[in-house]
Amino acid sequence: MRLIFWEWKKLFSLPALWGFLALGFLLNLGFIFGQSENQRSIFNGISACTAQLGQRVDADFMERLENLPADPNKELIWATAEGMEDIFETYDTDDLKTFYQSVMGSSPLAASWAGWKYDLLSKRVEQLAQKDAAMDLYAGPVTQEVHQFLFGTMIRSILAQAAVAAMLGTLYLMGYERIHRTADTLYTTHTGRKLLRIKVRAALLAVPVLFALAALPALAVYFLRMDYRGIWQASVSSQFNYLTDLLFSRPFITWGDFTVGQYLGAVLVLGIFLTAGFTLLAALCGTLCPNPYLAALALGGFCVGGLMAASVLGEMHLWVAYDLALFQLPAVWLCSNAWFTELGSSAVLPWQETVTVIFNLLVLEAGTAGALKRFSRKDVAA
Amino acid sequence: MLSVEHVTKRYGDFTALEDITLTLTPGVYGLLGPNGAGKTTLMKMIATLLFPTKGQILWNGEDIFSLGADYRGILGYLPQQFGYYPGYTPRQFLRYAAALQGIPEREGEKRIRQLLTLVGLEDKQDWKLKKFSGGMIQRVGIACAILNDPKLLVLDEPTAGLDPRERVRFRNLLHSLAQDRIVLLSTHIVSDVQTIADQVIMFRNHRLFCCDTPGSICARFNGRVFQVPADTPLTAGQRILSEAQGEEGAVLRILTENPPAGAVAVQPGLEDAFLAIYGEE
Repeated sequence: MRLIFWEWKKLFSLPALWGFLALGFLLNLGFIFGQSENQRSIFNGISACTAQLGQRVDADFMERLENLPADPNKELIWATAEGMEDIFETYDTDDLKTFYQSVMGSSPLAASWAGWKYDLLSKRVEQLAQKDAAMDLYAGPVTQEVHQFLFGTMIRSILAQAAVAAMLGTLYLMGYERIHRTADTLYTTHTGRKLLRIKVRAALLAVPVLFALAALPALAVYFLRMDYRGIWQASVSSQFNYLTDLLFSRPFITWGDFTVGQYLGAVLVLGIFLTAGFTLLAALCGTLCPNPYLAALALGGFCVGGLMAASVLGEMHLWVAYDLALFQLPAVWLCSNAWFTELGSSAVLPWQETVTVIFNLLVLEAGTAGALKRFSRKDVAA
Repeated sequence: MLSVEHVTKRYGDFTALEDITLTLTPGVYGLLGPNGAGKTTLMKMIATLLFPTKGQILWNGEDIFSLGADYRGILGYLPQQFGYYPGYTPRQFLRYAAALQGIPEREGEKRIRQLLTLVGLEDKQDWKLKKFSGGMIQRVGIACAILNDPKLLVLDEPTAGLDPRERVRFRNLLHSLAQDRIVLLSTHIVSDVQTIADQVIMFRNHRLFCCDTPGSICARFNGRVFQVPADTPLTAGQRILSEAQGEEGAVLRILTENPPAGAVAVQPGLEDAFLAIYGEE
């Protein structure tokens, strides 16, 4: 722990790290204050009402709503909630299945995977129908925009900032002794080359801190402006929440039951693990490539190249290869607006974002351990 | 005891060291040789930074790479270019080094205080290292190398950047350190080796040339080193070792079996021996 402290001292005394986090915060502020005032006003109004009424739209809800004093929010909610029906009772995932199977028609194997996924999804739809999840109001007419703003814009931006900060921080730690020409002195101490292992541990332990530094200030400002008191308990699978993939709209069907609060919590937890995955990727590059600048180039190439490769494979209709290429961390980041849903063309498995993060953590952990072992058996370059 | 047994180090086709065998017991060993002779390579191998291509290095009969942390725990190493963190004070840097050496904090603090006094930096312990001169940095490096009270101390060019007063201080320090440990140092300053070392190790053509006392090495050239006025015409077989300013003008020190008329036989020093051995390389 004493050595972890010293590595943290190196990391957190790096002015560029704080500069980067500050720039990220400014960017997030730009997003937050660029949000439509009208949308915000409707959201806060609905939230204030649903804090009293609850989220589930049923006869009791309508009765309580009727008893509220007249105001524009009451009228809006009334107009939205009147005649609401549980869309999941009649929803058929065959439409989605047929759509994706036709898209992937050139590859029978990929089409069969898509069919399997949407067959599983139909069972999930039945569960949602039993629980009347679609009958939650969430934020009524502004649900989709606000949900996508929070999880598609804000969280994606926070994830990117945390991942970049963690990756650059890790590379900085891994290359620190080379930059300062201290490798010869430090690798001949009792700790020796295990110092690199300690750096990886320090970088991994710094992940929740970096994530919190990227997320908390921005989310604090966001939640100060957006009143979620009446929203937290809403199901994210409310009928007002939906997703669009390849121009095909579908309800926000998650593989598990999530309220907005639980969904945010789950996204943040997975975000920390995703950031840990990027940290291990940086540690692997930093161990294999002693020059920190080359390691940064390799890392950037890997992240951008991986996404580009997946995109090209999709364009070329090589769907099996495309599906396999999605099991990479940047692809998980890219679909953060729809985590824990069926993810459309971005997944072949239920919970794919979670599976991909765990898979990458295991592979990268093994890869980094191997690279560290190799490092302990090779000459220390001057 | 440190044993270097038939050690060879190759980088592709280039052979940096060929079949080196040495046994070091407590005392000071000076490594001498021209640039590229393989001194730093040998020191880096003893410091476990480089792996031998062939042969092995043993500490009390056990392979140093197998001993790992146990070996590094008794090792002190000062590299040729001592790197440091510019934003740290010497106290902070030594604290970090103490943590890496696994020295308990309280014990480390006491040791750091002693060492900063020993190397004459006690009044500058809270200065940032970026404000230090080269000599001061070298002193921090020396303190760092002996932080763990090593049984084997490897110093690569330890006097580089030190002024004459600091060099004398360093020599005295080394004498006090060498009582019950092995000190291996390389330097280009032959007079330092002559003053400090009990044994001198010389390489030639990447092979071990000799390992002997300075006196014995010098004795090899007894009766062959002469001093002549600088304008003395020299013939074949008379090799200039060095030129110096004498009381009666410039003089040459020459190596020859057949001294010219007027040549004065002088006691060969280690510098003469060095120049005689490496003069033609």
